Amino acid sequence: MEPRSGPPPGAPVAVDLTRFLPMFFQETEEHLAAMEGHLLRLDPHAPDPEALHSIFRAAHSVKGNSAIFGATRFSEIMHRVESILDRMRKADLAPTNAVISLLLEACDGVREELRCLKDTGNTDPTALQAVYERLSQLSDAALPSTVEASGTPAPRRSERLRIEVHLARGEGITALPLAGLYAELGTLGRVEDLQAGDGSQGMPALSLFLLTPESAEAVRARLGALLGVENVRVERHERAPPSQAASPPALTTAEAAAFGVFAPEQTTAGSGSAFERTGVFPARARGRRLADQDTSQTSFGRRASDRTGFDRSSIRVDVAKVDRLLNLVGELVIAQSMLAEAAQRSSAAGDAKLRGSVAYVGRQTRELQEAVMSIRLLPIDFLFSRMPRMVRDLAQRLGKEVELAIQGGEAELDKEMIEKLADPVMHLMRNSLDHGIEPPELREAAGKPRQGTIQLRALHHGGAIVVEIEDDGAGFDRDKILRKAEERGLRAHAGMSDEEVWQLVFAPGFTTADTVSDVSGRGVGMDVVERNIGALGGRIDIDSRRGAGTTITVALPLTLAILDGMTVAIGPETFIIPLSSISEAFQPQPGQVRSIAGGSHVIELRDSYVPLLPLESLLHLRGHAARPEESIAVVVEADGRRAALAVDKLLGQQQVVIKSLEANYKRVCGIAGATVLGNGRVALILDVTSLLRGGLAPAKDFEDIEAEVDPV
Amino acid sequence: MNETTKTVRPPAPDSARGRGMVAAPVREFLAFRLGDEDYAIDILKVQEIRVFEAVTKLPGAPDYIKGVINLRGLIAPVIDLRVKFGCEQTEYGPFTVLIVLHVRERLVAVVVDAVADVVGLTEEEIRPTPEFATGVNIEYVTGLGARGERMLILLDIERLVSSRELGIFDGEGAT
Repeated sequence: MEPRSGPPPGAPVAVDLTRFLPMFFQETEEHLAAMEGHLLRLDPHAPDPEALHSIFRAAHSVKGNSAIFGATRFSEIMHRVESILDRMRKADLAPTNAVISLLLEACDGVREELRCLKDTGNTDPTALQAVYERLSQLSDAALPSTVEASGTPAPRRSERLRIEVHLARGEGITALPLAGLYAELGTLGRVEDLQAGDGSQGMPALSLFLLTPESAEAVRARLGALLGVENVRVERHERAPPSQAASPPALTTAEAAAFGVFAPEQTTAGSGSAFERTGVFPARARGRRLADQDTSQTSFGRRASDRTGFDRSSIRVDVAKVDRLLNLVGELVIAQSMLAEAAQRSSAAGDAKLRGSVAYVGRQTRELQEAVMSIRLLPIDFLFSRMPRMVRDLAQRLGKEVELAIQGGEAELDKEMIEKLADPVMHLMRNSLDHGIEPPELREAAGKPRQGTIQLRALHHGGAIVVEIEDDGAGFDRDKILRKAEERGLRAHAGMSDEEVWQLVFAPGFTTADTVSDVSGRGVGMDVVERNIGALGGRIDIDSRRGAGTTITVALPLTLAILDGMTVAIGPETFIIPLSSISEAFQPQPGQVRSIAGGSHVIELRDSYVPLLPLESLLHLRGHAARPEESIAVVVEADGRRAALAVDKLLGQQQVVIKSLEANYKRVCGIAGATVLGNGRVALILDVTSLLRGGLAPAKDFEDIEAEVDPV
Repeated sequence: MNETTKTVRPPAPDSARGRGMVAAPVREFLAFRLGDEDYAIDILKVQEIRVFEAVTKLPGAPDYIKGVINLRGLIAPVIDLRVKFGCEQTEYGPFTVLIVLHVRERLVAVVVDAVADVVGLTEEEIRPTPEFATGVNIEYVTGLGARGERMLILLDIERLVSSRELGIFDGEGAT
């Protein structure tokens, strides 16, 4: 440890702020999101004062927190944002599109740098310069004094206060509501030389210098409200600052550059301090170390929710814990059905009391299962709330006027599903905006309002959730789609129904755009969307009327963990075929099955022939060969292919809990996962898409399977 | 333990033996029988022992992978080490058991003929591996345990199970 000048009297080691960084990151992101949300809803002509105030509060919090953590760049930006907001509050400045765009840009910039800081521990000191200068221009037009009073003051007009917090019973810093305290300090002024102790031997739990325009009394009252007035000592401190603290925060020093956006660490602690020896705060705040701090999240997260009152009624839980719970409940369901079966077969089967109890256990178990499953569900608003920003930016770029109406954001969906749904929904929204909604002039010419409307809706429909994207734009151009389809050599003719024509857009590489823009039109679109939705077990429908608009409907199962399946038997083995890929199942009539060259079979289905694939050979099951005419044909469709799978028996439809094979084994070609049946045995769930791909070119795929398992 | 399994194995068995043994004077092994040979694996890798139960076959899997079973809601693959090691008798009798292993965050069950018992071996009782003929690739043998009349072949089960040769994990595990 390098020699330092002696510590000020009673001053312990500098507090390890890095422990609180995860919370800083999270809070700042939340504040930025809140700002963005309000900014987007702001009416340029009559800004809602309450909304302005909310944005102001959020900006203020970001400013305060950033100052505490030495991220002076962020606080400078937010200070300018505050000034601009203040002008708006005084009706000195109208929240025009340009102004709001600038503020959004500021939020984006800070968010971007924040992420960079979180991931790498460093930021680009020049990254925010441009937006900062533009903010300055706008805010400098008038810099109202009220902002000055509540914001970070200029150092020359401030006083240095020494603040000590002593807790009764000699408690240490861990007993303090730190999150709230830091927020409060951040709004009061600039904190220097913050030091923490364990409160023993008359040492303060916390001591710091505060550079503030407020009086000592006012500071004591504000902090006292949080910590208890009797615990807070505030005195004016004339001594020179322990370091270069009197100079205004700047990023130009060598140290600041080394630590990215973080201001230089300020500490005067000596190496012999009792606190350091006891290892209470062994590490110091260093920008470089940020990336390692995730482990501290748990303990701090609890404190954060206790003290700042963000979301008192919810807790953060590791998804793995929920999944474990789900697994255990799944097992309980199986155990319960075994019990029910045993009870039915036992000699006491006639006992009404036993029957009643078994039925009761069954009901309770199923209810428990539903309750546990619901833990994984999140409101779809997590996805929808990203849309206003995207629509606004894109509409501006395309020169279109669009209103976005969102409904049903409270509908709940599996967390994983929401994440996987984001890209397809974004894509569909972009399509509606780019291809659907016409430019304002065209709309007026067509007798429609200048402003187009896109409605984004989510609703529950049976066991599924339906997401609808409806625009009042131009609708699909049937002739153009047909023409483009023909150009691409797709099977298309004028006699097709509208629905069939709309399906053409799902063909790989299909686009109706005459020019390729960076928004859409590259033709890597709808087929990918359809595949992604298909992978989630959902389907997508299009309804479009020329001149009136388009509605795209995406129907999804509620959770990825459950699947509606058809249980089929092949010899002694049981498999599950996802119901969503089955179009029909039937016992072939004599003569309906035809052999073709090479020993394969096709089945006549109305006016076409469909390959009949024996499932046992697709799956390499040996020692079983029923004649194809005697089996049951399950017609499946995936990826535009259709085939009939020959199975021995249909055992029935049921909902199954999907379990991963990959958790302990690896991916198996043709298998989507596994489930546990009522008798405790494992049944495999077929991946129809990859089966059909393999089934139509069997030789190749079997080699793939062999290669994958790498036999010795 | 981790050290021996995660680092590349040195060519000389002597040094490998020495390295694994420094920390604990007595290590415990689970001894089991495959055909006519006695094997032993580190007891710390064993999660549980189960009676052999019906497995669900996996399409396209090699013959030593019998399929998958349900381990309290988790799906675990079942490997028949007897098939893998080329034992002649691979019947499923009353003593056939599944040893459920916990290796590299995964659960894997292996079929063995019979579990003998838990054996504690001191460093002196573990001998280096000579060149000898066994079904097992000598690469996975960490030493020989001498217990009176019995000779135990000490298997690095984690290495074996996660080896590319066995190929039950995707991509990883090759050493």
